[in-house]
Amino acid sequence: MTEKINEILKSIRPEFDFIGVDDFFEEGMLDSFDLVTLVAELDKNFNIHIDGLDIVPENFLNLEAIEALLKKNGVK
Amino acid sequence: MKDWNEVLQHISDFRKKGLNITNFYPNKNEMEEWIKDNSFDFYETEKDSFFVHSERNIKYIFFFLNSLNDINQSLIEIQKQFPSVQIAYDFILSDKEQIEFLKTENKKYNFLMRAELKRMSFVKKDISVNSQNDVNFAEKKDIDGIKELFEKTFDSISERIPTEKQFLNYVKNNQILVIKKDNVIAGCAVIEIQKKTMYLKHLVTNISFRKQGIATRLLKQAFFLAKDCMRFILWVKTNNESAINLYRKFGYEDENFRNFTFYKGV
Repeated sequence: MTEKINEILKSIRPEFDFIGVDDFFEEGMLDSFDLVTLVAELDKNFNIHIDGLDIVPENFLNLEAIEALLKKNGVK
Repeated sequence: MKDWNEVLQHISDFRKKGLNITNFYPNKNEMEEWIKDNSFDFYETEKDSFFVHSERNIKYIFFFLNSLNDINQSLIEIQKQFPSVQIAYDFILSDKEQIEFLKTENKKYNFLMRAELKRMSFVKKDISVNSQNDVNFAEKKDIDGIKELFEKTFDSISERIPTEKQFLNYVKNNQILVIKKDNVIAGCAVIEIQKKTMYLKHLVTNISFRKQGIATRLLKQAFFLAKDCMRFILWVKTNNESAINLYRKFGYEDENFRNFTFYKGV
């Protein structure tokens, strides 16, 4: 799962290395525009619908946070 | 709209219905200001729902669609809802077919394409720029001069000239850089630093002071202030060659995203 998430992130922002980063927003790697794109890509690639209430930067801070969100949405 | 949580709840409801195509990119701080000002609302018609931000007698629409093909229904509903009002909306796309489709559909419903902007950006670890001596933060007394310069230069509909309140906030937060010559605003830049990203929101040179390196010095000072930033982003009109050339000299590169502003007058 982590590898797939990383692939998606790199497709949005290929200039960054997302592995080992604690806060993508703090590091300037993602912004609100990227977040909307990221949610759409995660929905499409994992066949889920992330709830609007979950579309907050806290749930997308790093790879682990995104993985936790995907697990919450039933991704194994 | 009551508060930010209500915004998120509506987004949640939209997403549950599969309405994932949107031109709404939530910026909590900005939208909380809109909610406080009562300029941000949710509208529900028989066939459609959308957010509306009211600014300078214009209704800016935020759609939530199942697919881009549904935009025509939304445009019909919006015109029914706001029959005698200026309406505008932005849409960000990168796919050429979708871009052509959107332009065609808008023409059918009397929405003209007002502007096309492209996003430029770059990532850099070390920026080494000196502070520019003649560039200062704007003060409250400069706002009238800055507003006048903006109104002469920018299209209020597609380039979102800041309101008086926004200008006051920018001044308070040291976000406006100015170069003055004999107390006249020769040039001005508005920047926003969010964590490690610098957004260049506006850059303008007074026509009487062109070809004097004003824009270059404003940009250099912006980079000096943003020396800890890693990512630099701006939007520029696709037909503004001189600005694009300047930005390229500073390292900005084109992204694929295009922002289209569509407008329908009264």
